[in-house]
Amino acid sequence: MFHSRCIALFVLGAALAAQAQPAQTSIASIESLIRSQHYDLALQAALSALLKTPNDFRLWTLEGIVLSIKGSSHDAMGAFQKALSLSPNYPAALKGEVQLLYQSRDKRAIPLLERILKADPNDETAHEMLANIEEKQGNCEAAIDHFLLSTEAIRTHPGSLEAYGNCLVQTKEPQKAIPIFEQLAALIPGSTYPKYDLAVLLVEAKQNDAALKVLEPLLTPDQADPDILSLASQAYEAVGNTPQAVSLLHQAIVLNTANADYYVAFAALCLDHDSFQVGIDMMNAGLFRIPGNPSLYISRGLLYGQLAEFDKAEADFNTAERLDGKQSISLYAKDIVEFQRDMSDKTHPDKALSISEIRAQLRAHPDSALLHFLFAKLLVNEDSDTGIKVTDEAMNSALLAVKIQPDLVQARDLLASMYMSYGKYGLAIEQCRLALQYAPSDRTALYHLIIALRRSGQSGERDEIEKLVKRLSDLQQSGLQQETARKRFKFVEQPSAPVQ
Amino acid sequence: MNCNWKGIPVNCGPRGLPFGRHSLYRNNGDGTFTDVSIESGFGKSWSNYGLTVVAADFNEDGWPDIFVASDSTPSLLFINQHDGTFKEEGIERGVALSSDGMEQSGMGVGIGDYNLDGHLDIFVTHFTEDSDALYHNDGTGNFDDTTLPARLGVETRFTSWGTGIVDLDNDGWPDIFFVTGSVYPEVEKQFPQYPDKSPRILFRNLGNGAFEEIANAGPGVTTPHSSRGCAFGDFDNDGDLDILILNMNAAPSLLRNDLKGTHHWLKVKLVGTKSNRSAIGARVLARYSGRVQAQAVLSQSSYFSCNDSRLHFGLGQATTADLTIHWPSGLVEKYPGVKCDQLITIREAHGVIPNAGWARS
Repeated sequence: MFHSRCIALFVLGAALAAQAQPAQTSIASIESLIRSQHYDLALQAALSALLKTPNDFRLWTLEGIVLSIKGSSHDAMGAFQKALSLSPNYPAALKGEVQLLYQSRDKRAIPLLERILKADPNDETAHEMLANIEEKQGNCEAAIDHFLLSTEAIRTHPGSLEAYGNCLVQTKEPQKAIPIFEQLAALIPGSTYPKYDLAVLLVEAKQNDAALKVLEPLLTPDQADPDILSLASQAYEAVGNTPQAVSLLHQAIVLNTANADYYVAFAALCLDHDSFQVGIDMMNAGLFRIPGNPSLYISRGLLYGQLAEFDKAEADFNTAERLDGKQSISLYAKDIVEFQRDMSDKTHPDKALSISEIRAQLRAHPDSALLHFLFAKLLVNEDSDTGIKVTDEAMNSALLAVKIQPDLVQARDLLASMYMSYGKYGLAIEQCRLALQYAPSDRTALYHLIIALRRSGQSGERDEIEKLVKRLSDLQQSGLQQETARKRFKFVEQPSAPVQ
Repeated sequence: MNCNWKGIPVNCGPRGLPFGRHSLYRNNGDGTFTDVSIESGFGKSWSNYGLTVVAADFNEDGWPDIFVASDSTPSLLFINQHDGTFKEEGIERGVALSSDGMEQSGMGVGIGDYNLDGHLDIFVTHFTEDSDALYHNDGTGNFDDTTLPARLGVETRFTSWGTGIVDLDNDGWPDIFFVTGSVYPEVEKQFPQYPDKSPRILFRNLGNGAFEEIANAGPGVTTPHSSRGCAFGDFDNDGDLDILILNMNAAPSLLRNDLKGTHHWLKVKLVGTKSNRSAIGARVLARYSGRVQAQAVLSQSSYFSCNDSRLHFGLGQATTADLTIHWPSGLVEKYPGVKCDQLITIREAHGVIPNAGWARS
């Protein structure tokens, strides 16, 4: 990033520009003293000159520069401000004050940088500074605009590249962030964190082979960072190398037995590979190490649910809810398992997932999009069981779910289905298209869109329907292939080695 | 392959197994057949596991279409292009997937007109924990999934197989019947809620687009079996539909229907002349009590089963029905005011002829 020597060059460069004007001898000599790093002499000369010409903004600016270099930031700020009061757009004073403010990413630098850019819109350094301050303020969109105008300047600045990349991620542009983190990783090859960040992005973008290219050099026998091992496990699983995925995740758990995330990742692997009992045993081990962790209870509950052990699943979800009442995910999971129980066992005495129970859950968690969605779904199912039309309450609950969480595509799928039952195909199409924006592989949204387009009877949609059918068929095919690949492996527990 | 269900090791498939190919053989009319699978478009690699195939004229253009219920993959609907070829349009016509766009298990197929609008609807049975699916035909071969409004989604306990949309109480509204049985007999030891043997399921048509499950339809229905095929026909010729069911590793079940009451019925036997002699592919519309019911003569449906080729219409309180016959040859014939409670045999282009082999004719 910007270090003090850079500051001096940046500001002095601006001061030298002023030399093009008819210069007084004192100014030239002060600048000469600064260049030769005789700062005390330079300061004395500036003060003397100011006694004679107290309204010379250039002298105030040079005093500010010297004071900055000497570390007297407060006094330097005063000198720059005095210069700017005499000449509001004097570039050297503007840049001097900006530099001081920039060191702490002080947002007061923003209007000054904007004045600099007004005079010189192509000043990449000013754009870069502005971008970094905006990023610090959490204004990523503004930051990205300025990073885009300072691509040459940031090329060699790791901090700016990192800030730029982070902003792209925050603004949901991970694909654009990937080349930025690639630049960063190449710029500081000895550093691990840019490689890790890059690999995270690549895994999220499903570019798992590329992620493994980044990660594999880090997977040395002495690698002690469990996050790297866990991320590599995720990538290996995605490319079908399940044994390696399990091995690395196991190493991560051994390295940090107190991190619930690794156990949860292991549970996800077990769910994918229908290895439910192995997963339960691992969750038990995790709960021994991290007693009272709600995530582990939720994971174990999901595994029990797959084994149709609904009582145990429900008990785990209740425990998770008790341990962390702020989250609603455990309630959602509990309700889903109840839902499954309803499907398979009509004789169970407690089978009916009560609408009133979910109403109570919603009172405790009014902002839970998942619960609103589930409530709407239950109402729709109940309506269909009794032959009653979908109620306004179901519609409102689904609408609330997507208002709270716009990317909750299941709720959008439900809304589309409800709209279609009312013959409101335009609204159904809108929900399908929104769902597909968030989740392009959402097969339910694709199918609803095909049906809604067909039923809407609008001409000119034949081509789109044909393309959608092809897309849906391709997704179905790839889903089948992925499932087949997943089922190549099942986890088994090796018996413990005999005690010697 | 890791093949287990609810954590219990089970036999593999169909997912993960190679896909087969479907075949279409054209009858040469001389006792031989020609394999036209490729040129018809039927035999290309469809990447699906077909289980039950039914040919019927779903879009009412006079040409038989072909529906293939498929396990774990989208079902297929081949629309006849009138030139010896077919175009697969199951997804866009709304009959390939569940209402959520997911492939189901596609076991058995029932064809009938559950809402008396004169069009052939499709009922497909599926695996346990998944709803069987009812698809309503709008008459153009486009379907809507009406499983939930028909209240058929309430029964998901069992894996379901052979089925029919058949009027078992002669009230004029076709009911839905299907047989069930697990494919994983080893599972029930650990999970009794997934039994190997399970009851047959009967949904009574309420006449308003919805059905209700009949829990006490007698021991023939409620006694658990592991069943697969089922065929419908009036074997004792007493004017109601009986059911023959094939069971796994057990003798078949023959369920005799002994209806009492005042409901009337009509059976129609068709004999083709220009069309094939069995009249397979003929579509018959029966109008009674202000409604119209469609039925088709099928070569097979349900699951590995073939029904009585005499079409059976329950008429409720109606004492006559007006018949319209769409023969496969394209000929359309009308027979108004046909009296109830009888079998009528109609020969293509020749009219009503004496019944053969019918005790009460």
